Amino acid sequence: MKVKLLINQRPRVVDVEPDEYLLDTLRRHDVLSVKRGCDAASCGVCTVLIDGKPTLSCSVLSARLEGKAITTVEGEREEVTRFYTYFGDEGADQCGFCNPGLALTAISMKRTFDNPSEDDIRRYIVANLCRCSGYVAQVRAIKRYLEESS
Amino acid sequence: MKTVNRKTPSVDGKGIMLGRPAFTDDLADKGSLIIKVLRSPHAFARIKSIDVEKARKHPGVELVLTHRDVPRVAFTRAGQGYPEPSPHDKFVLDEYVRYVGDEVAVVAAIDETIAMEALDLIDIDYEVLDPVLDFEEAIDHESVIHPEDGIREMFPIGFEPKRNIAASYRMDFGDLDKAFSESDVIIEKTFHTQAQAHVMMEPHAVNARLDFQDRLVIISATQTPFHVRRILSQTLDIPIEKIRVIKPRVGGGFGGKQAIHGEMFAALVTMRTGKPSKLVYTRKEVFESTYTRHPMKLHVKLGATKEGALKAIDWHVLSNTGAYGEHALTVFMVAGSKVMPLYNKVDAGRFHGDVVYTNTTPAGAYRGYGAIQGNFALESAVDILCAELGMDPIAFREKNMMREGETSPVFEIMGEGTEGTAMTMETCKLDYCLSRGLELVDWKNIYPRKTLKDGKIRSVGMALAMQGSGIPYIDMGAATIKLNDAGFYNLTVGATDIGQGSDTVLAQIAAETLGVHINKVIVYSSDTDLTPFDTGAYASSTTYVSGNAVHRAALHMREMLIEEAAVVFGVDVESIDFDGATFTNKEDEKTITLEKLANRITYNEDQKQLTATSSYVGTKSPPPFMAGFIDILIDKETGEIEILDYVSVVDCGVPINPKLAQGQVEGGIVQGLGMALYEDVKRTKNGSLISHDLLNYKIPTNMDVKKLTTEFALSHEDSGPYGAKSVGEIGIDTPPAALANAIYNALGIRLTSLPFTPEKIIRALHEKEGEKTS
Amino acid sequence: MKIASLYHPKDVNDALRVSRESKDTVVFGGGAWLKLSPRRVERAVLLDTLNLAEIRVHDDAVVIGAMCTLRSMETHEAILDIGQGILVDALEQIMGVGLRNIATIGGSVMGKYGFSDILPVLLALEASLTFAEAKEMSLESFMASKKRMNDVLLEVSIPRKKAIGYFKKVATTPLDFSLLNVTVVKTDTRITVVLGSRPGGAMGHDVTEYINGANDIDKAVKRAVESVLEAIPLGQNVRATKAYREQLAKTYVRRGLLEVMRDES
Ligand SMILES: Cc1cc2nc3c(=O)[nH]c(=O)nc-3n(C[C@H](O)[C@H](O)[C@H](O)COP(=O)(O)OP(=O)(O)OC[C@H]3O[C@@H](n4cnc5c(N)ncnc54)[C@H](O)[C@@H]3O)c2cc1C
Ligand code: FES
Ligand code: FES
Repeated sequence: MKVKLLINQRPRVVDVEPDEYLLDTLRRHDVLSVKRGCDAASCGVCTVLIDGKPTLSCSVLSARLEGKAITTVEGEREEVTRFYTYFGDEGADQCGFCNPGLALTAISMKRTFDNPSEDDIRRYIVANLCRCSGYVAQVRAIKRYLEESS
Repeated sequence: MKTVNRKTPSVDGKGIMLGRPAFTDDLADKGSLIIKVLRSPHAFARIKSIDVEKARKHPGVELVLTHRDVPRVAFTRAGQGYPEPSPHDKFVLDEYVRYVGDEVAVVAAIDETIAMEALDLIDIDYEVLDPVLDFEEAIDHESVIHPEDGIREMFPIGFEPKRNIAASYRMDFGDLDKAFSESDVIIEKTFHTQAQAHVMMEPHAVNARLDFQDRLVIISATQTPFHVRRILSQTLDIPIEKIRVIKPRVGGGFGGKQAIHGEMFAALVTMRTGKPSKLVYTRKEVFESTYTRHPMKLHVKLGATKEGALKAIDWHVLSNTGAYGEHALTVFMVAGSKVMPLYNKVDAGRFHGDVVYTNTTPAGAYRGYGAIQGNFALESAVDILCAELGMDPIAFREKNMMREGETSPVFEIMGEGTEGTAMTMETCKLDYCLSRGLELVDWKNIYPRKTLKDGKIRSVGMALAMQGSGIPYIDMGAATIKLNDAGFYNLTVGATDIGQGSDTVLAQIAAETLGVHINKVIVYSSDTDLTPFDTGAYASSTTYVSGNAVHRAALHMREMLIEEAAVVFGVDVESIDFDGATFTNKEDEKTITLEKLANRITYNEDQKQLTATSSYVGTKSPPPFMAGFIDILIDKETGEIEILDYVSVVDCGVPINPKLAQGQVEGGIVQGLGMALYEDVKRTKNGSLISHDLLNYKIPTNMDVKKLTTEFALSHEDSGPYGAKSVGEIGIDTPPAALANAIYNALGIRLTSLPFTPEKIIRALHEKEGEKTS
Repeated sequence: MKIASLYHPKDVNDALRVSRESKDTVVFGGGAWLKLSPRRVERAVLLDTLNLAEIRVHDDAVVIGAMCTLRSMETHEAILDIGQGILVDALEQIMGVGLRNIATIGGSVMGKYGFSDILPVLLALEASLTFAEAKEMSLESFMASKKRMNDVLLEVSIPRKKAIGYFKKVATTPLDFSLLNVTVVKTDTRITVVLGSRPGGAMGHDVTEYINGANDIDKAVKRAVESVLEAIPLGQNVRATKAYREQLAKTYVRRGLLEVMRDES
């Protein structure tokens, strides 16, 4: 079946199976920043923005997204670059597999929250698992990004 | 120093965050056949018959492989020095299946749905055998897990498959009986460590294809591309020159990718069909069918005088390697060799025991392997001893621990799978790590405990740790530096960046030596066709071993450049000054820039390509040291623990990249805390996995560890590149013992079996209270 | 889950009719939980176009459409008001925003999950349900019934009473299911304790009689805790033993009761 999606600001009509999940659709269409860590709503590395809201792409059916705006890091180059300046500066990056999903979550936080506390930040990114970093540098980077970059 | 020991952003972080294709599945050929593996539902069984006709005929299926279709060559999947100290006890596919999740058959089809359907069409008749699930009952069990012919050890490692023993080992020094008889206090305790899963965020993935020269190209998320090439060649009888292994970006490894996993199947499928193929593990497969940490039972006996001089350490260890013996002996030995020397003043020591097979997911390499198990046992035992002695555990450690300039007999006796190498500690800032950590954690105000107004108890606990820096005389790393026109360099290394930042660290070392900005050093790892050899990312070897190779190559490049400049000016090399950007003829102060010189030898005069290749193999393995301190809050009604802080003070020599080094320590601490607190591979009575997904296997989130305090001791290891030692593993070692000690300090209960769940704490507390009241 | 086709019903009755046509038909909420199921179905009935994603605020109740996501609930003012934010507190402790932007209240109720962190709170708040066919039903009777409800849930309604709430989720990490969760809600007339993830489905117990009018608060709370433990059976699963659940219940019911009483004074 055909669905019209706005993928990174570009309208695209994609052919999908009824039980195809957004993660598969995106990767099939070469949006490769979106990763698969668990395929079971438990790790956060597949996070994309759907109409601006962080959403696990492994767990939404593509066919239900008619007309929705799907954003990945490929479509947020400027903001991701801004975010990375803090991230790199804090040494928060390691293997990077979790980073695109985390970056989108942080960006959405910047757009929806005023002055989140550290606890708000931690809660908001709690399901973006990372096995490399120990998290503390990530939280520091996000805090600075939210405070300094607006 | 301009680049080394400075804040330097990683060379690749931004591109990865922007989502540029970098990982195996991003780069895989889009037309790849999809490989799916049929896995055993039984913990132990023999395949009586297997019928794959329906699967083969299923439209879209290109190939089905069973044990009848593959070469029968025993090998080990472990990626480590060759010949390996692991038994060759694995076949590509076998008539026996030895754990739930073991490989039965392989299907390659044009898409995933068809491949999955084909798996359902395979009919198997199993003879179900009685599995060995409890490793304490494995030796001489009625069921022999490896009854087959053709398996072997490469050199003596105590391999006795008929007794379910994969390896065994024994060492001792000094007169143990005498040392114990001279001890005023002797304690003995048995500790249990659990299987831990790696849970790197990127599941294992491999893509195979044939290139235009008809060579097999494997792109794999591996920590050891050169070992993969060798093992594939030896096992599948493919000439080694026909194989190219590319390691792209890897999404975490922690030892879990220090082995062959899907590569064997992808290679076979592509060789047989001529088509590209791809195998991406599901999360369940990663849990069920890759590796775990070796569970161990460690019996430790310590003796000391009443003045607190440690006299003897005696260990007996039983380790569980699961169905196959990858890293069986080496992990086992490290439990002693990277722990015992912490207390080097003992008169006598012994370390012995066996590594056994069971019908469970194989155990393999895992960050801090052996060390974390041994550290938990010994550093818990030391606190138990101190309690018996009535001595402050800090004072005890100060009296007995390793110091700079000292040595331990253990270094010479124990290596990894072989004999070791004697060495003195040129750098050991353990005393500083200890005293600084005490300050940072505010030990004197909290130790042993404080009861808060709401009844919760705050307490602290600590442990010391050491690691190594590569394996002497075994681990070799090499680097090539190439000069380009306009004067920038390519650095190619076999060392595998798996997310730990080694590309950045190695580029920093090259940039520092060459006197250029890191942007002028373009680093690439690793590709068996293009990059020089490296044993791989393991054993904390990269910064020290590969870093030394890079340093040498860069020095060599400098020399060659100075020679070229001398030619330009027609003088001796002694007359040339080179600051990385400009060559100055000291005789007449004339200069030429690197850019001009590079262009000249590329395009205009004396044209040539300058490359420098160097390699390094360690003659010792200078250990990094650390002191780890945990500050916790325990709710004694529920056993719940809140971690307030984890203080690490680390001597890793000069941290080449302080932020990345900190990331290595902190990532290790949090993984170690996961193991200490709740991570646990759980099985049913039949041996199938309960913890086969992230709903049932919990790893720490950012809310579980809110504060980490990490500092580095001022230290300079002369044998390391710019004074560096290693830092990749040490962070993981201390949390289990530090937490056990903190729980003891809080509640007076001694937990000896990991992980320390709130429920275990409550149970122990109730037992203790029961003892008191009865 | 394997799905052969998707169906967008014209209206609620159409949804109900189609969902009953065959066993191989399944009604979809957000689909996050269904995704994990190995089942194969012929038809997935999607309620996306039936205007069930609204939250309406009436004088006496907040009415939540079955297709509202958990995230849309937790960010809604009127829901924040309920029981001093108790429902939001529970919602925020379910995985992360990425999941809560998918998971719906409809799926959370109809799944009747033993581990649920939402149902205990809804139960304590005396929520009621509206179905396409069965119409009104209290959540309590829905929970008590063993029968599978072969109906389409349309709305969940939560009375807007002045209430003080306490919610505690005990879990290994913030991404785990509850080992046990404890809800205490105090209104002007009642104090209710609900235990969830026992590991079975949530069960409530009224402790008003022990607390109201008691002189010795500590003694009263102690008796209330005992009565909860007597009334609500706890059991064992991989996450915790019965004994440990009892220990947790004892501790957190006591703390919850003390807290709702403290908040009032
Ligand atoms: C990884 C993961 C972790 C979770 N952790 C927690 C947790 O810690 N605590 C917690 O409380 N919850 C947890 N949940 C559950 C979650 O909160 C939701 O309750 C769950 O996902 C169901 O919501 P859904 O919209 O996804 O439902 P779906 O998956 O769409 O449906 C679930 C069931 O409800 C039925 N259904 C849905 N809507 C209707 C309707 N309107 N009428 C009739 N039947 C309907 C479906 O047929 C199906 O049987 C978790 C879920 C996942 C996937
Ligand atoms: S892939 Fe793990 S949450 Fe989607
Ligand atoms: S950086 Fe590797 S998982 Fe986060």
